[in-house]
Amino acid sequence: MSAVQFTLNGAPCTAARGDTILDAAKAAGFFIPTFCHRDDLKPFASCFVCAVEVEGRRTLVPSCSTEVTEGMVVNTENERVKRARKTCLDLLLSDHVGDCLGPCMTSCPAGIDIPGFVNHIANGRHRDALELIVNNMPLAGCLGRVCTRPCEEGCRRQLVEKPVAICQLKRFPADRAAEEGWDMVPSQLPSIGKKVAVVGAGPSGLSAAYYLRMFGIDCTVFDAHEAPGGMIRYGIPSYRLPRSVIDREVAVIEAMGAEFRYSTKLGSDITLEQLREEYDAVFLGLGAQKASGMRTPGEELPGVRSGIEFLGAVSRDETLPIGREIIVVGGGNTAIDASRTALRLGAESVTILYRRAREQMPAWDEEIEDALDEGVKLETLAAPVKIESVGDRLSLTCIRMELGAPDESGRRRPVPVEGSEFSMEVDEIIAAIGQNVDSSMVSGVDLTSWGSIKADEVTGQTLLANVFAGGDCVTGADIAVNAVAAGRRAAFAIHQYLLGEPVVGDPRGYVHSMGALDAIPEEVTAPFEKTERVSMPRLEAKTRASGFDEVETGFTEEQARAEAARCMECGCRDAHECALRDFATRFDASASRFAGDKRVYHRDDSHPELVYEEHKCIQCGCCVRACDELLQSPCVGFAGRGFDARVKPALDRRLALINSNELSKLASFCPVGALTLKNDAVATLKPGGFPDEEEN
Amino acid sequence: MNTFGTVDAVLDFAIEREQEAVDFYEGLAVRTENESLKKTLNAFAGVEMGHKEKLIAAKAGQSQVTEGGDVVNLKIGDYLVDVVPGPEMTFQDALIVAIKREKAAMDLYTDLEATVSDPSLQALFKKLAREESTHKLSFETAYEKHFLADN
Repeated sequence: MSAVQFTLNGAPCTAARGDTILDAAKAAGFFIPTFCHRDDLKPFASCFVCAVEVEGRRTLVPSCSTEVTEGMVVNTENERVKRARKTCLDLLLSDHVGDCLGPCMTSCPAGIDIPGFVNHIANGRHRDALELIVNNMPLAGCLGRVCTRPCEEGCRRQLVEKPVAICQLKRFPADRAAEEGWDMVPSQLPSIGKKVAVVGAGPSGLSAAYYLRMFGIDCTVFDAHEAPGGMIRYGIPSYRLPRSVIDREVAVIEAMGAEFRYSTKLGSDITLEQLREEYDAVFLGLGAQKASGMRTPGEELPGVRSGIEFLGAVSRDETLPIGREIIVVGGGNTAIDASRTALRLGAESVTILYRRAREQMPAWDEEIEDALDEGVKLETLAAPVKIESVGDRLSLTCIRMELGAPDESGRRRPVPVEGSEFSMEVDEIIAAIGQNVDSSMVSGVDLTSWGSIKADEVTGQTLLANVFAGGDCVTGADIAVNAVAAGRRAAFAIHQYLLGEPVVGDPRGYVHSMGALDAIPEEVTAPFEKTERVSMPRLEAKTRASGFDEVETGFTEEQARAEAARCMECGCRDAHECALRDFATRFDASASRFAGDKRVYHRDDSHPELVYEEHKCIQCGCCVRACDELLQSPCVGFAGRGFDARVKPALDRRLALINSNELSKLASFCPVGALTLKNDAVATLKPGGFPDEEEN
Repeated sequence: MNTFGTVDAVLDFAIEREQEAVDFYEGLAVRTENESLKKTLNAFAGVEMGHKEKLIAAKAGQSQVTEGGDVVNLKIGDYLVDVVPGPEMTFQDALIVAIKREKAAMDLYTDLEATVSDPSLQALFKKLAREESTHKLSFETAYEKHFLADN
C-alpha cells in the first residue's frame, strides 16, 4: 500500500493510504480522545470528541472517519481543537447523571476509598479494607475513634434511615490488625537519596512522614513533646483514644524508617534555618496548641487553667489536685473532654459554661450526650466576666446572654443581658474557649495576620520553596482528618519538589456527582429496606465515668459486617477506567457549563451479571453496533431520535428478559460505566467479588 | 464644655482622632518584632486611614457620614481585661486594644452628642458614634472568630 505524506501538528508525517487521521495520529504518538470509535467496529463518528482541524476545511472534521490525503495539514492539539473537545465533553456531562465517586468519599478530606473499604469489610476481607484505608490515611485506628465524620454527612443511606457508621467501621480492621499482629508496613519506593525534616509528630506530621517514606524519602520527625501524636495524644483523653492505638500506628511509621526525635522544640532546640540547611526540605506540622485566654479579670489566679494544659497534664500522667466543684468554660470538644476527664479524676460536680445555646455548641453532639449521661451539667447562654479568690476557692461572676441577630454564617450571636450577673463558687475553672497557632517559633515563612502559616492549599508549599506546611498551623485549630490529608498532600508535593518536577501535589481527577442529598431521586433509595444502624457497644455511663477505660469497645465481626452491608455502593464501578472521566480531567470539562434537563435516573440490575444505568449512557452506540456487527444478537438498540434517543434493551424490556448469552459481553464495549458487570474487579462490590481467595 | 461650633470643626476633630489611630498602630508595628503582628497592626492602621479618608470626603461634600439602623453591640470588649500596648503583644492583645479603642471612640461621640444643642451637630455626632460602633463590631467579629471559636 502506498504511503501518504502529510503534516501533523507542524511536523512532516507519513501514513498508509486509507488510514484515518485518528490512526495516523495515534501511530505518530498523539492522543486523540474518542468514545464511539473502536478498532473492532465500523466508524460511527457520533461523539465528535475526536474532531481535529484540517487546514482549508471550514469546520473541524471527525478524525475517526476522515482519511489522510496527500499534502493534508492536520492540527490535533491547537486551542481551537481543545476548545471544541471541551465543548463536546461539557455537553455530554451536562445531562450525564451519576457519581464517579461515592459522596462519602468526596466528603472525606483524606479521600479514603470508603465504599471500597466498607465493602471489603462486608465481604470479610478486613486486611484489604485496612490496606485501602491507609492508602490515603495512615491512622485508621486513631481516626476511627476520634474523627468527626464528615464522610457520614455525605452518606446517602441517611435518606433511607441513618448514615452508615463509616468512622467506626474504619476502626474495625485496624483493631483486627492489632489483635492478630498483622504486619502493616507498606512497601516503599527505592531511596531517592533525599532527606526531609518533619516538624511535629501530630496527625499532619505523621501522615507526611508515612507517605514520604513510601516515596523513598528519608525523614526525621521532630516534636517538642516526649511522645508522638500531638493533639490526638495531648488533647484527647485516653478513654476516647487509648495511647496504645497511637503508639501502634506510629510504630508502623518507625518501621518504615522514619526517625523520631522527641523533646526537641523548634525555635529553641532547633531552628527552621538550621533544618533548611541540613535537610533537602522541611514540613511544618506544628499544630495549634496555644490556648486562647479568656482575658477575664482574675484569670491568672491559682485554680484557673486552660483545657489544653489540663488535658496535656493528664495525658502525661501528672498528678493533678482536682477540686470538688469545677467549671469548664467553652462548648467545643476540648471543653467536653476536659469536663469528662475532671469527673474521672474525682470531681464531684462539673459544669460546662457556654456563651451560646446548646444547639450552637461546636462539640460533637454524641460527646455532649455522653458527658451529660456521665453527670456533667450544662449552663448555656452565660459567659464569665470576673474571677475572684474567696478563701481557697474561686468566685466566678457570669453574665446571662441572649441570642441576637445572626452573623454571616447564620448563627445567632450572643449578646450580654445588662444587669443579669450572677456568681458561682467553685474550686477550679478550666477555660477551653479556643486554640491558636504559636508561630513565634518560626521565622522566615510568610504568616497570615492571625499568625497561621501561609501555604498553598493544594501543595502545602510556603513562599520558601523547600518549606511546606499543613494541618492546624495553616488552617487554625481544625479536625484531625484535615490535618492528615494535608500531610499526605504535602508529601506528594515534596516528592515532586525533590525530583525537580513541577510542584502540583496529588493530581485529582474529574468527579461527577448527582448532587446534594436533596437532589437525589427517590429511585436511588427505593430498592433499600430500612435497616437499623448498628450501635457500637460501649461501657455504661455509671461505670465508665470512674476510670479511663475506653468507652466504645468496638464492633464484633458480625456487627461490622452487618453495618458494612448497609452501604448503598454509591459511586461508579467504572470510575477508574471511565473514558468520560478521563477526558473530562484531561480537557478540564465541566458539568455546569450547559444547564438544562438531565437524564432520568433509570437503573436496571435485573440481570444476574450485567447492570444497565441508562442515566449514564452517552449514546456512543458502541454496544448497539457490537450487537449488530460482532455478536449478531440484537440485545440493545436505539429508541427515539435526536436528543431524545436512548439506548434501550430490545423491545424496551428489562435486561433479565433478554434471551441472549452474549448480553454480558456488552459491558466491555461501554466506555463510561453505563453497562457494567456485577463482578467487575473494583473494591466497591459486596456480592460476588473475589470468590477465589480466602477470607482473612 | 465642648468647643464644636460647626460641622467642619466636628469633622476636623474626628479626622484628627483617626490620624491618631493610624499613628498609634503604625508606631506599634514599628516596635513589634513579630513579623505577622507587624502586618496585622499595619492593616489596622490601613483601616483607620480608610476611616479618615471617608471623613475627609464627607467634609469636602463628596460623601456623607453614613446613616443607618442600629449596629449590633456584642459587648465583647466590655468584659475583656485592658491590655497595655507594647512590643510583646500577641494577636489577641492587638485585637483587644483595637476593640477598646473603637469602644472609647464610640463612647466619646455618644457623650459629645449629649453636650451640643445644635441638632445638626447632634446628628453628626450620632452618625460618628454609629460609624465607630461598626468599626468595633468588625474587630469584635474577628475576635469572636479567632479567639472565641469554642465559646
